[in-house]
Amino acid sequence: MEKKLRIYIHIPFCKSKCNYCDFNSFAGMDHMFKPYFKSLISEIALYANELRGRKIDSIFIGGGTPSHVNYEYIGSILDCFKFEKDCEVTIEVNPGAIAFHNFMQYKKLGINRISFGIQSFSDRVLMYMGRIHNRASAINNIHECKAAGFDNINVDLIFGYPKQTYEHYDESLNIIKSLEIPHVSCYSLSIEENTLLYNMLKKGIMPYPDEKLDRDMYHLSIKSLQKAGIYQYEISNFAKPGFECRHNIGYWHRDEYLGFGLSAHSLYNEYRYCNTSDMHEYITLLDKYEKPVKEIEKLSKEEIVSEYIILRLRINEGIHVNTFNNLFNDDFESRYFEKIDILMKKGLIDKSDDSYFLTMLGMDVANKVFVEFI
Amino acid sequence: MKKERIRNFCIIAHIDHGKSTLADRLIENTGLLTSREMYDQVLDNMDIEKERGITIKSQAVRMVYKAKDNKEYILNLIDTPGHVDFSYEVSRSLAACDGAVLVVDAAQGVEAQTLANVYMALDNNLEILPVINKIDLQAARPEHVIEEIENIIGIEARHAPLISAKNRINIEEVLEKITQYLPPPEDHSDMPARALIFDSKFDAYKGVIIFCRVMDGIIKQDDTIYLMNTEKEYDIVEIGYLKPGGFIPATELTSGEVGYITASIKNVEDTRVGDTVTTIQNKAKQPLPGYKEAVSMVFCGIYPADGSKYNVLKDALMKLKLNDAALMFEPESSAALGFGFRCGFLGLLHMEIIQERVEREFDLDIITTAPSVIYKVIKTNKEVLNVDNPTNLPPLSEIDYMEEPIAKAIIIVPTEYVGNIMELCQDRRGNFIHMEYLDENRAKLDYEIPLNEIIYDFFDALKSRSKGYASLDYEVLKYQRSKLVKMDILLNLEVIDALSFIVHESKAYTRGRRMAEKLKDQIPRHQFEIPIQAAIGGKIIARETVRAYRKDVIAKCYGGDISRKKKLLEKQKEGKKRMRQLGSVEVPQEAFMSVLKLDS
Repeated sequence: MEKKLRIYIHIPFCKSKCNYCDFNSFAGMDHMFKPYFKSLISEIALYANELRGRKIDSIFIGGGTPSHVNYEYIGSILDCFKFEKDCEVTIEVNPGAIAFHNFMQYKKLGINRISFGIQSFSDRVLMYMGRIHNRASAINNIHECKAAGFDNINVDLIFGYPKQTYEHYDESLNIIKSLEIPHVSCYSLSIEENTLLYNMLKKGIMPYPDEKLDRDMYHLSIKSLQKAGIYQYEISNFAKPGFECRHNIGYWHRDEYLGFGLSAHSLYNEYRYCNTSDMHEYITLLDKYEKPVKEIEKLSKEEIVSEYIILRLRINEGIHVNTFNNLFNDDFESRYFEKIDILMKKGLIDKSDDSYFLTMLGMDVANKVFVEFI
Repeated sequence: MKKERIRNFCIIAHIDHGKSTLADRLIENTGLLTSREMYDQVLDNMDIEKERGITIKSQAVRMVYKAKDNKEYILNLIDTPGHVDFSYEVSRSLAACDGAVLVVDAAQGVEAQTLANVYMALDNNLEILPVINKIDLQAARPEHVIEEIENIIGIEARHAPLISAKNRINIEEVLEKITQYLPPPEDHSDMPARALIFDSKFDAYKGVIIFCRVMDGIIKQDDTIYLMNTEKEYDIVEIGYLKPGGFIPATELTSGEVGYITASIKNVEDTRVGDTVTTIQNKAKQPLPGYKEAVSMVFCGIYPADGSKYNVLKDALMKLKLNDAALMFEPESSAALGFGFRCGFLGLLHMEIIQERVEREFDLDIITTAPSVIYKVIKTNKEVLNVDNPTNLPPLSEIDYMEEPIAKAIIIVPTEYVGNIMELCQDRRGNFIHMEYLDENRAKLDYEIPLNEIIYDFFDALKSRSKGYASLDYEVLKYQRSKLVKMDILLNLEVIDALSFIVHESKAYTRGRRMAEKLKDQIPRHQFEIPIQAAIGGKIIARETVRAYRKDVIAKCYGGDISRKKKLLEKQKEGKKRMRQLGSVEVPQEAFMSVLKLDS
């Protein structure tokens, strides 16, 4: 059987930078589209060996804002890969920077999943976040997307943002339910240094978010979405049965993937690779037909096991004891006897059907669990 | 060798005035090692000594110098420990010498340790040769320093060589002046044998190596030695002279000579610094004067961070004790920290050095509790207890009164900081004794300060309030009645014995409050709220709260995030390693020392 492979494409351009964002993305760099995509295609060509004979099970075009660039650029990249109809092909889009005809074009390119960076349906909260769209344009875009024939749609939401109330968030969840979106990612805000938000908090312009409220919102996501048949399958991900994101599950299953573009990561043959995050360096290296890889990490057996446990605990299916034992020729329960015992007593993990998984409390403080297995 | 061509001397100096560098240069110039073989500071050969720039153990080296009079001289340099904690060891090294080279920094002039060392050298009737070092510094003012030496110390300094040990200026002159100005040993070869031990160390192959100066008589290779204070007897295996990093075996050591003796001795405790070696063959009646048992001044608990490493810790302390007779330890247990050891040290530096060596040389993670001195507790039934651990203090109702050790402190400080320093001493319950202007720029302050104030970060406070210029020397003087109370610290409503400390009544409230604040900053948030309380005899005097956390989760974890998030978790794990579980609360190891930093 051919081994599955996943592809990630990074598009680092945005129309404007959001207040909380520390991703490698640029606003006002539209003149770089052309050289960047030329380099992207060169990079993919350098991986002909790795790609040969592999079935591509998913492609994820992320950013940045991929919808900010002309669809022809996207097409030129997808042309580099051979993939079947059953391949999950996702593109991230931002409302306010996309219209009906764009969805039609994506459809033609073979894209079959749209991920909306909506974050909130409250105009006030969107303003705090520094987003350029509003509730009306977001809802409108979702209708257009559906009209273009997409049924596999994701919406990203952020909760725990300063000044965002429980009611704001409840409203956003309700809109998602009424629009019958089959996949939602709900992210607890993480405050990163070197962001506008971080500086605003430091200077006291914005109040620090309240942790209890953050958790209340999180627990609300789980309960509220469940009522609409949208079930949690990972710490931050919810889907109607059959609409779980194959690409992202691949990350948590440690499937192999190749990432192309600025600061993209790959997992291949138990090596983790990371590309340069310097645009100039990226383009210069590829002009010379050199791989723009900045870091290579060979994973030891211990690291593989530790990654396996941490990533599996993120997803609700958890760690299946027998599968683990067969895979690593080890005994999960005796090897981690003490840790399992303590974590169970603290109510952070639980076991059923021969699998260990995080409890609700465990998901709130998942790092405390993960750190035991590092 | 004729006695008149031997010079037994040491180099004395304030810390950083260049003692070790000068020693290196003397060794280099007498050709014992070529400069390529020379690595910096030959005599300080422990890592910690090099890093801290201080000499912890004394050692000796024998140099041959051909002087301008065309005669060869034997120069025995006996290195002395360079810190107040080791003043007894210093005094024994000095007693083994006939002269001393006094190194004074040409920019800084006479400092507290300079004085303390000079006084000690004069007590031992040593001839003193001053040397002005660092004359190539911009700020050097050699004339001024010479005057200072003459006025403050009262010794002739006109002939002092002006040198730079670092840049090899005028080193030859130092060697020449040593032969001219320092006296040869007196020849007492015809008397019963007596040698003064100024150091000893344990060697895995030879057993204990005794470093000594023969004062009287002759010790021969086939003699049986007798240690007069510890009353132990051994057959000599090897006897001889010392060279840097090695030994030159000989057949005998005679009066006036410096050398080593090995005799299959297993325990350095039997070869105490200051003890007298005599021989069965020609036994002396009286030991040399000045022997003292090492007395521990400062105590703390040392516990393995990982309880299962108790035996490794025990082994480490035993090995360190092989070379350090002044280190005391006995098993103790703490409800909070489990099994460990109560350790006694000569002073704070000695304590820090031992802690560091345990961690470094034995790769052990340890937790040390706040240092304590010995308090005398006079109980209502007239019984007297010596308490070096706050946990062992009897209940208040049984205590009539308590006494604490008081140190005599000499502080030398530029006049502009006198106010600051007096304020600090006052704040540390110091009793002003005397002040004297050494010259128009500097003053010498004499204080009596409780030792428990000195061990709480006094030295750092002194430095920070004088821009680093103040220097300190102290020794314990007496015990004095004092109003002391025991401060208990409660975490999550439980008393943590390892955090208790004894404090003077007048400072209890401030210290208790600061301690609670400090701990609040150090204890990480848990899933529950943690009250931190300071209490005296059951009465709560301060309270802080560590808020509970509700969220600790990486919300996004996709392809590019995995490596980054792993690093984040690894950092968390490192932090966790430094944590100690006390009941339900995780406390970082540093917290146990935080009582030390309450005034900074």
